[in-house]
Amino acid sequence: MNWTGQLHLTASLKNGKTILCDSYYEGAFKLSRPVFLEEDSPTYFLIHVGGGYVGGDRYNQCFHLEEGAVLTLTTQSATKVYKTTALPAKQQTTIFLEKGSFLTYLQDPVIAYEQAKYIQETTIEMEAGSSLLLTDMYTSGWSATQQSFTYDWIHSDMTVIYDRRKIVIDRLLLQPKDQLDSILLLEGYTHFGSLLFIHEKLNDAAFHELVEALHIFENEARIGLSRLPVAGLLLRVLANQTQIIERIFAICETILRSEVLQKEAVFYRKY
Amino acid sequence: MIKEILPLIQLCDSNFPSGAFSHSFGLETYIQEDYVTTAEELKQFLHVYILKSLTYTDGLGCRIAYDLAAEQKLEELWALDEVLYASCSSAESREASRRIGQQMARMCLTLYPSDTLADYQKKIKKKQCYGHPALVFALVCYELTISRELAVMSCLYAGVSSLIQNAVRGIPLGQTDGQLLLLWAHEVIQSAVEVVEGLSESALGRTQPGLEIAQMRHEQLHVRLFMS
Repeated sequence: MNWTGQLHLTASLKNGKTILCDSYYEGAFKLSRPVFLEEDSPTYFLIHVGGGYVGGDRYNQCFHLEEGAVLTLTTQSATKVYKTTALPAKQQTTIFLEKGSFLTYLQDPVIAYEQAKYIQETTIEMEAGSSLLLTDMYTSGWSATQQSFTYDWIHSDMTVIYDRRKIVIDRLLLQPKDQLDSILLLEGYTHFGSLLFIHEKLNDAAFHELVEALHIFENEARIGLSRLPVAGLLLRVLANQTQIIERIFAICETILRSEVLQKEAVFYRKY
Repeated sequence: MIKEILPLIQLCDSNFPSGAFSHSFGLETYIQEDYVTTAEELKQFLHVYILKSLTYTDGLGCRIAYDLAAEQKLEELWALDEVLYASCSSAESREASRRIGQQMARMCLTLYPSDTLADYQKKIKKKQCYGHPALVFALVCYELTISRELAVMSCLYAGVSSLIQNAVRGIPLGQTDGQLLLLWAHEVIQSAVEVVEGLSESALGRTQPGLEIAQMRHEQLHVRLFMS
């Protein structure tokens, strides 16, 4: 199997600190050196060394957190998908989280340009007692004709299995020929973001604090959040700017970290 | 033919005690936020709701379930129940389908008993399955030797007609407006059935961002007529 970019990593807990016990990357994918924004758990930046994704590109990522490992992964910048003539660009991600591990996986926006076709498939398998914070965002890129949506389609498919039960199946197909600005679809917005949080300790108080804290965005974004079949939540946002969604995610992360994890906020300092 | 059709008409009757009467699946959010206040706006809502949401959940779910029932692939049938449950991201709407599915399974087991439906009911009781109306429709229709196409159509019809009934109460609209909309919806349902026939199984559960958000926001509405 020939990949345009491939990245595999395994994190484990050694003497109270999380380390990468195995990592491998090739092609257009690279992994940064660890950054210690928190003392015992490293943050790694996922780097794409090319300018963006084009037709026929195929990317593969596997993240494995062993028991108790705590790790943050974040993309270094937006994923730009350019015109794909024949085959779409495709990215597959497989995540396996063992008991007691916690992965924070923050993805910058996927920006789909004119005539882009993009498939993103994510499968996450979690053992009981593992935790996850994941964000993603989709938007359209600038086009010469100034139209809002000029990509062909974006297809995202995510499955989360927790303790051998499917708890989230998230299948999204954004295609401008469906009149994306219509009611029920993007409703006049251009950016769509999601935040998924799964943690045994998520309680009513933290959930309601989040609901209250997000009221201030009522005029800039359309936000919904709801509980999962297990302790966890999914938040959806429609807005017109990446920055608004990032601010919403940052507030959520701060509240969830302080109320659920009893940890301070982290500033990722990317730009 | 008439003999087989009558039980189906009974099942699709809006008086059938499925509990759908109590659920708006996000429509009430649009009503309260003034996006849907007239028959015309409801028509736009329904058009997208049927073709961009219901088709991929209940419609495709019913088609797949019907084939699995015919082939007696029971394990895959129970797995389908889990996929339908997990693909609904709003807790209220997920519970709505579960409750309606459970109530229909219980009622239909008395009215139109079959081994597969009895197995499904047992699984639900043991909490090994959640319950979903599309599965119940498929199992009942298969047992009644109703075609797969008609099964999907009636499943969609039942969902749409109860939603229109609820909209008539919720907006509110006149009864004539409601019936005119249901008549108009026939053609949309027909197109949805055609779409369902051509879909790949990987499209199951596909949903729409705006609708999901409206379903989620329903949980935060202060005064509500409906449970979802």
